[in-house]
Amino acid sequence: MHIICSDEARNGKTIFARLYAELLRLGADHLPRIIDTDHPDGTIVRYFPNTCDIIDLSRTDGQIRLFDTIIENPHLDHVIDLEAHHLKRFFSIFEDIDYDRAASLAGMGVAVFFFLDRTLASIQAAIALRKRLTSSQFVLVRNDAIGVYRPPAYGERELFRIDMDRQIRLPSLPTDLLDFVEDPEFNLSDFILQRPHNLPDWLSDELWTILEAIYEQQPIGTAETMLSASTLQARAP
Amino acid sequence: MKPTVIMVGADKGGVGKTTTCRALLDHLARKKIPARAFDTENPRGTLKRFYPDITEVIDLNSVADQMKILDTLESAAVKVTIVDLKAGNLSPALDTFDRIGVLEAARHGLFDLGLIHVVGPSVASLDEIGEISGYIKGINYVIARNFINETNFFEWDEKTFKKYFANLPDAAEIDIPKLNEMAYEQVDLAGVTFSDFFDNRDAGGKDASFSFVLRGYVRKWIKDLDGEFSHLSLLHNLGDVAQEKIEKPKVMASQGAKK
Repeated sequence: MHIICSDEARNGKTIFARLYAELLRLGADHLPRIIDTDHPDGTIVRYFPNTCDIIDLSRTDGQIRLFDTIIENPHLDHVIDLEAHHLKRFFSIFEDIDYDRAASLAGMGVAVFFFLDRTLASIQAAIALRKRLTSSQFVLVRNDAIGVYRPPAYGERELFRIDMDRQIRLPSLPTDLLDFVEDPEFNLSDFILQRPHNLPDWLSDELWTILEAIYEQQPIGTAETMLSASTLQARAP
Repeated sequence: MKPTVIMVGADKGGVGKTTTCRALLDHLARKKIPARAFDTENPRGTLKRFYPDITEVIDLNSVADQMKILDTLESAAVKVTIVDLKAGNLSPALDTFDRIGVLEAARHGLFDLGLIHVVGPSVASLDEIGEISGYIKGINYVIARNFINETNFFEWDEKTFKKYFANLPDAAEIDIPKLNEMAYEQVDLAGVTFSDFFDNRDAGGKDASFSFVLRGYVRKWIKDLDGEFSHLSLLHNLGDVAQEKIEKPKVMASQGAKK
């Protein structure tokens, strides 16, 4: 179960969820089940119309469709593109029903990818969320595309002290490339497998570079490789 | 230790008396404290549906049924008695118990008597607190505020809130948290205890297939309720009741009832 979330909207969750789902497909030869929480219209569903469910998390039956279905199928991958306004509700339910423990008992891994935004509130949301998780993995994602990151130093220092399993830094996608990638016709799996695609060569090279930059980030113990974290580590008392 | 009788009631209907009774019986069962229950929703008791083995449906206006509760306090194997008073029957029940000397006997320590008064977020319900104040002296009086919906108990209006809750001498207060509606309905439909629902067992004790999410909501609700019940001194010594010698109550319905 892979939860892509943030306390703020428009910071790259959906594009990451899409990329992540495609990478899972490459590993498993089939797409994971994708859950779109942007009820009723959906966002990520545009890219995966056949394997995506739009779920209304504000309703109990929607919550049942999400959590019950996943725990009943612990052997399947699920990618949840969580709307920012559902963050508190989702993890409140997650905690109330002790989903962490149940998932662990069912032999299912849970990874939470939290997109850090540029505000102190986002840091506080990340810290609060980390504290709620018991056995789930917590991955902090920084997206260069949302701009220069200048939080108050004490907030960043607190963030650095929380127990995170991994950090990922997403390079910014140039606008021309973003236009192509955001087009539902563009298929990342085809691109990665070097099947025919409609991306011009110069953008293709750029996308390869970006994907490699993401891929090469070590899965564990990467805090020291992140510029802001390492800087703060040096400054920390 | 003495036998304990806990009445759960309200004069207004629909405030959650039976739900509170079920929650209390559930709480006692989890603490491995044996209890018996009397459901006064005569002739069809709701409580009995969830606790058929330990519940008897009675008519509290009948002397014979009053005797079933009061004259068996000593002889019953189980020393904790829960009485679910039907809607509108709180004041009459207290009046009856007062007339036959039950309240007086409890005040003299012959047995422990508690009243859990379930109130809903309405003026009509809260006014009952004043109406029964003449009966509650010397007994364990608990006001249970049942958060049936997202409302509060006039906390937004300091004057009203103080009127009902600021001057409650000798009263304990607990809050019954709101349970997700669908979870409540599923437990109701299944006809099982809250604990069995959470443990995914049907009424026959077999494995069930209740929703994980709904079980989770019930689990959280039970946990919150246990926290509320743990504040009540009335329940603190119940665990020892079964092992202690019981002192015989001197006032019995069969001796004192005047109808």
